[in-house]
Amino acid sequence: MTLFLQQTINGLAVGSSYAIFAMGFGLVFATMGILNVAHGTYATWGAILALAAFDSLGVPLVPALAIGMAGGGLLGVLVDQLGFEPIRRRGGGLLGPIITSIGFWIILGQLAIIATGARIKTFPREALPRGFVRIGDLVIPYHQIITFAVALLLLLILYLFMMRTNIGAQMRAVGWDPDSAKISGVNPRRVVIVISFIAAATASVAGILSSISTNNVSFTVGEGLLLKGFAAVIIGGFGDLRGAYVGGILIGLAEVLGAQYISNSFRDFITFGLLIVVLLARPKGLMGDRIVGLRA
Amino acid sequence: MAFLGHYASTVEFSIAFALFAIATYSALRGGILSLAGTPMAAVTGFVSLALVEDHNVPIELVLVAGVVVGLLSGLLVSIPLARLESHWVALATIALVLMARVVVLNLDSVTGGVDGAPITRMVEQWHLFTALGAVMWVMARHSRSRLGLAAEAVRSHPDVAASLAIDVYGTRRSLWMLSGAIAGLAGVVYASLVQFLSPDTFYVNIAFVMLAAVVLGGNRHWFGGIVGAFVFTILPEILRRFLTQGETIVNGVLLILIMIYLPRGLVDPTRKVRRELKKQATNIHSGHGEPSAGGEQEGEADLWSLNLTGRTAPEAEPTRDRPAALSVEGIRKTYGGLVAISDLTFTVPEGSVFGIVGPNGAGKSTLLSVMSGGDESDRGKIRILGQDMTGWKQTDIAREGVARTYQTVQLFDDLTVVENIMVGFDRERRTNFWDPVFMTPRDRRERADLAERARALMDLVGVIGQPDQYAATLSYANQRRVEIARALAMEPSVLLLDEPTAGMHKLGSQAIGELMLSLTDRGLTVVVIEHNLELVLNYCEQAIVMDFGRLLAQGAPADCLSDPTVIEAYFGRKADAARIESLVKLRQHSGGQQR
Repeated sequence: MTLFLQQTINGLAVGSSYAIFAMGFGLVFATMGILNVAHGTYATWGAILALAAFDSLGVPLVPALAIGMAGGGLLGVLVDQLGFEPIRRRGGGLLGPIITSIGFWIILGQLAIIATGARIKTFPREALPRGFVRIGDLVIPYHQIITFAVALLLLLILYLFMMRTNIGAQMRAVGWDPDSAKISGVNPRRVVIVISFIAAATASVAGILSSISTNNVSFTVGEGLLLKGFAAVIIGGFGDLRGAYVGGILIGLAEVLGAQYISNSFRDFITFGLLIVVLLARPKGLMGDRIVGLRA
Repeated sequence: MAFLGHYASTVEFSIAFALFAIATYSALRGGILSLAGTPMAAVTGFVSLALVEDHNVPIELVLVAGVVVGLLSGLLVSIPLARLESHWVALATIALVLMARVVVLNLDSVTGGVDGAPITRMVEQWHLFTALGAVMWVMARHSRSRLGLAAEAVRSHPDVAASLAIDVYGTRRSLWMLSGAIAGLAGVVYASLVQFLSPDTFYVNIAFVMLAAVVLGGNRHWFGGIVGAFVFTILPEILRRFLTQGETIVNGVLLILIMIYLPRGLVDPTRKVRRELKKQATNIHSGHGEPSAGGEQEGEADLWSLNLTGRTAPEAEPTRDRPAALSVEGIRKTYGGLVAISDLTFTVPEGSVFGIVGPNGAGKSTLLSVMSGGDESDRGKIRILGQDMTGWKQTDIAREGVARTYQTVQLFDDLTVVENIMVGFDRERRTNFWDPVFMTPRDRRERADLAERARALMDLVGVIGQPDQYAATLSYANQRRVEIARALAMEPSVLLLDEPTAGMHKLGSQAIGELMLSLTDRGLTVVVIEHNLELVLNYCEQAIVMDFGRLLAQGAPADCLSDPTVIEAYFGRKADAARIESLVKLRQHSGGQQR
C-alpha cells in the first residue's frame, strides 16, 4: 500500500509537468489551430536560458527561473510573428503551420544542441531546495511538491484569466471564430501575441521544472515533454485547460503505475495505447473541444 | 556508379528519403495527413533484418517482401484511421510513430532492443534506381488515373466526392495501401543503407522531416516529394564542408521561407495559371482588364442566342396519374434552436422540372442537402424513385441516381475541366489499380472514351472554355456549367440544382432553362432552387414557395407566385406584386403562342 501511494505521488508529480506543458500546447491548438511541433523547444530553451542566467550571469535562482520563463515566452512570440503570422494572413489551413513549426523545431533544436555542446547540464544541486516531507512511510521531496503546486496554481490562474478577464474573453472569441471576433472589435494580432507568450512561457516552466527533477538540461527536455504533452492534450481534449491538466496527470499516473505494476519498458506503450483508444472512442478528447470550458 | 563520386552515399540516401516522401505524398494527395509511413517502414526494416541476417533471403525478394508487408500494414492502419478527419489522423499517426519505437525497444529478441542490431548492406545502386524508377512510374501513371481523380476529389471536397458516388473511405483505403507499400520499400532500402537499426532509426525525425520534404517540394504533384527529399539530403551535405555542426538548420530556414513565399512548394503544376488569375483579380480591383472571373461577358452571352429555341414548360398536368420521382414527407431539420426546415411535405412528379423558391435563409439549400443525403433530417421521410432513402449515406443515394450541384461552386481546382467532369464517371469505371500501371488497352480505351463523353457534356451544357483548362480559370458562370456537366456525368435520374443561373447573363439563364427541359425529355427529374422568377415561371412545371423553413404555397408556378399569402409574406411591396402579375401574363401569352 505504501508503495502504491508513493508511486501515485510520483505519478502526480511527473504528470504535473506534463499538465503544465499540455495547457499551453492545447491553448495554441484550440485558439489558433496550430499543431506546433516546435512547442517542445520552448521548454528546452526556457531551461537553457534559466541555467545560463544562473550559471553564467550569477543571477539568483528565482529571478533566473523568471528569466528562463520570460525568455521562452518571447521566443514563442518571435516564432509566431516570424513564421505563423504570414501564413495566418493568407488563411493557411492545417498543413502550412505544421510544416513551418517543423522548420522551427529543426532550427531551435539544432541551436539547443550547439548551445549546450550536446552535453547534459544540470542545475547545481546545492542551489535547489533540498529535503522532503515525511508522512508516515511516505517520502515526498520538495521539488515534487513544488511541481504539483505550480501546475495547480497555473491551471487556476490561466482558467481565471481566460474566464474572468477581458483579454481572456477575446482569446476565446478568436478561438471560436477569428473573423467574427475581428468584427466585434477584437484585435486578433494582439490576442495571438498574448496567447503565444502565455503558451511558450508555460512550456518553459514545464521545461525548467522537469529539468530540475530529472537533473537534465539539454535538447532532450523538450522532446519528451512535446510527445507527452501532445498525448495529454488528445486524451483530455484540446479545447479545455482542465482537460489538458487532467490528461497530463492521467498520463503521469499511467506511466509511473504502469511501470511499477505492468512493465517498465512498456510504459510509453501504455500512454500511447491509451491515446489511440481515446482517439477512436472519443475523437474530441475526454473533455471535448470546447474552448476553455464554456460554450456560449 | 563512379560518376556520383564524393556524393554517392548522399544520392543513395536521397533515394531512400525520396521513397519515404512519396509514401507521405500518396496519402496526402487524398487529404490524409499521415506520419505513419515511418512506423510502416520500421516494420519492413526489421523484417528485412530478419530475412537478410537470419535466413539469407536474396535482396530482390526482400524488397518485394517489403512492398507486400508495407501494403498490408497500410491496410491494417487504415481500418481504424480512415474514419478520422485530417487533424485527428495527424495526431493518431504521430502516436503510431511513438508506439512503434516502444515496440522495437521491447521486442529485443527480434530487433536487438535498446542496443540495436547491425544489418549487412545488400542493396546495390541498381536496386535503388530501379526501385525509385518503378515507384515514379506508378505515381506518374496514377497522377490522372481513376484513383488519381478520386483522390483529388476526396482531398479537396470529401462531401462533393461522396455526392458524386465516389467511395470516400474506399479511396482513402487504397491510398493508405499505396502509401504503405512505398513506405515498406523505403524501410528495406533505408535499413540496408544505414546498416544499423536501433529504436531511433525510424522515429519522429524521419516522420516530420519527410512530411516537410513533401510540402517543400510541392504536395500537388508526385515529383515534389522527390525534389524535397533530395534538397533536404544534399543541402546539409554541401554545408557540412563548411560547418562542423548544425548544418541541418538550413533545412529549417528553407522550410520556413518556402511556407511564407511559395506555400504550394517548389513543384506546382498550376503556378502559372494561379499567377495569371491573381493578376486578373488585381486588375479588376483597380478597374482595368476584363471581369472574366466575375459575371458573364456580353460577347460570350451572345453565343447563346444561336441555340435558343424559345421553348417553355408544358402546362402542369394532374399529378395523380404520374409517379412521384421524389417525395418529402414531414421533413424537419433544426440547427441548435434554429428551425431550418419545419415539417415540409411535397412530391415531385417524375420527368418534370420542379422549382423551389423562397427568400434567402428560407431553408432551400438545407432542403437540397437533406434530399441528397449530405445532411440528415431530424424526422420525416425522403422517398426517391419509390425507395425510402431516409438516413441513407450520401454515396449510396448518389449511386441510386441522385446528382446535385452547389450554391457556391464546388469544383476541384487542381483538375482541368474535362477531369472535373470525369470524376462524375467514377461509378461506371471498371479499370483497377493495375490497368494504368501496365497501360492496358482497357485503360486507354476507358480514358479516351470518358474524355470524349466529358467533352460532349461540355457542349451539352454549353461550357465556354477549353477542355484542358484548369477549372478555376473559367468564369463563374462557366464553372457553374461545368458543375452541372459533372453531375450529369453520373447519368442521374434525379438532378438537384442549387441556383444554377447565378451570375449568368439573361440569355445564358434561358439556355439553362431549355437545358433542363431537354433533360426531362430523357426522363430526368430536375429540382431547381432559383431566385430568378422568370426562369421558374417559364421552365418549371410545378414549384413550392418556402419561407422560414415552412411551405407557403405549392402548385403551378404562376398560381404559386400569385397566391396572395406568398405575395404578402414573401414579396411584401406592391411593386413586386405588380411585376409578378406582369410576368405571369407574359408567360401565359408566350405559352399560348407556342401552342
